[in-house]
Amino acid sequence: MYLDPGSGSLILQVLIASILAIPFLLRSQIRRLVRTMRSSECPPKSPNENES
Amino acid sequence: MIKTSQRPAPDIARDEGSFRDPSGFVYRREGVLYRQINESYAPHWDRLASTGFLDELVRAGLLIPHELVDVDLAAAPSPHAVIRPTEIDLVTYPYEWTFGELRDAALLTLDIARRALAAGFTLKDASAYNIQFWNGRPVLIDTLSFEEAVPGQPWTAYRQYCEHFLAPLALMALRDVRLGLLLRDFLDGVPLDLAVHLLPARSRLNFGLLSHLVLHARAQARYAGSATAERRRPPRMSPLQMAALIDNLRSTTERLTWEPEGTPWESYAENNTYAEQAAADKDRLVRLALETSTGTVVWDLGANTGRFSQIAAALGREVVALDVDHGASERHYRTIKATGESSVLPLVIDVANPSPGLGWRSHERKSLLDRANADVVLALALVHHLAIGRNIPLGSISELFAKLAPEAIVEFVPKEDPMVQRLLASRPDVFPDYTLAGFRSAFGRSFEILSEHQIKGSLRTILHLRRRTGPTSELEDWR
Repeated sequence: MYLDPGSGSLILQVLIASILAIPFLLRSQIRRLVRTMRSSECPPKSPNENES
Repeated sequence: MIKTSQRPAPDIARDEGSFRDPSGFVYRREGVLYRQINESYAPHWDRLASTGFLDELVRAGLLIPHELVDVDLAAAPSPHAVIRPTEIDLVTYPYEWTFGELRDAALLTLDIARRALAAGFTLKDASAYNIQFWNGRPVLIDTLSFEEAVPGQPWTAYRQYCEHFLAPLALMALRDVRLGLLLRDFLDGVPLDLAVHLLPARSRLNFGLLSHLVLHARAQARYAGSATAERRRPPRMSPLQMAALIDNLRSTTERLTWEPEGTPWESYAENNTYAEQAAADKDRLVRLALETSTGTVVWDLGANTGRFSQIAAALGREVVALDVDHGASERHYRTIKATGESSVLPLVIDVANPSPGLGWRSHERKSLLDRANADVVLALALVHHLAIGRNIPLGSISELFAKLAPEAIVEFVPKEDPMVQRLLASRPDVFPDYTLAGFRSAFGRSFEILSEHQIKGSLRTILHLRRRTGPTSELEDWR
């Protein structure tokens, strides 16, 4: 580390990050859930499907 | 008798802007660009090498490629390794970029920070000067910007990201796009207190800008000079919190937009005085001159939205497209992004006031003229703006072009032309030498005329010029 991160900048970013963490986590979980549901609704074609 | 080595010392020149980070530095050895990795950075470098993280970034087009070379090529004691990075043809600076270019560089920085976090590293700096445009896209050029993540440590580059990217982008988007030029005075980034003074009150309604700029500036003021609180109890941050912070910086940056409307020249391409026939003939003459010109790099001065840059690019040339009008350059950048054109780089630069040498000893950031790499200068519908709009003598304009490149393709617009009439409408005509004959005579000192064609359906002339070889003292005689 060669930059001066700045005391104020360090303290503030931790404060902001703690406010943002929970909504961020929820959003990521919801996104993951939607992705899983979508992929289970339309399963990817198996490579053999086109051979018939 | 003192024995001297038979082998001459290699020609080594350290890059004058590469001195801040003790991890390594950039230099030229016998003209080739290298980066030395110092012993102090060895643990980080070895870890980066063993995880393949740098290769992943290179494959994704986010980091400039490099090649590991013999450590004997080092330029200073205690080298751990030496790499030869792919060289960027023209290094440019954030105060020369359009809004869209600065925003894309910012988003790239955050993407890299996010990938580093996921791979167990941290992006230790977020300097806009670490980003360059290569093949039409921004890339990180500082291969040593990563360190192994220390558990619990906040993002050390947070402040730098806000000062180098978020503050200038917010000012450009919400106040005035010309405030991007603040980066020219504040090489370490726009001070946040200044940004907050200049931002409109409505920026406080945006959570991201309120947090990262307004409250950030207050926190800086509050803790400035105090025996740092983190020394007693260092603030800690989980990887989840760090990811949330970077995600929020990304959405805050993405939401900053600017539409290039209403700047003086952005709609020139649609509203100029050319008749269709004259425009087609100008295209033909410019293409003809470009085809017969030599070299690969064309600097299109006063490029506007890039009509002629595109012609040069289609002929396989690398083009640097300069225009003083931010709106025109931004529209040009959007066009090349949309079309995937990779050989044109639009920049916002006033030819009559090109970027000076700046920073430490005025050498840290080089002047534009020191970086000139053009083989051909393209100056269409520009000379009258410099000669009449800015009172610059024709001989001096010729000297600048001769300094920039060995060839020039120049359009001369006579006084009878409506565009020049407009420039002269509200001022006395103190330009008796501004005639085609006067132009030939003034430019004739530096250049020989290879061809000269009047554009059909207009009074304008396209001249293809080649720099004279010979004593430069003659060039001083234009006054």
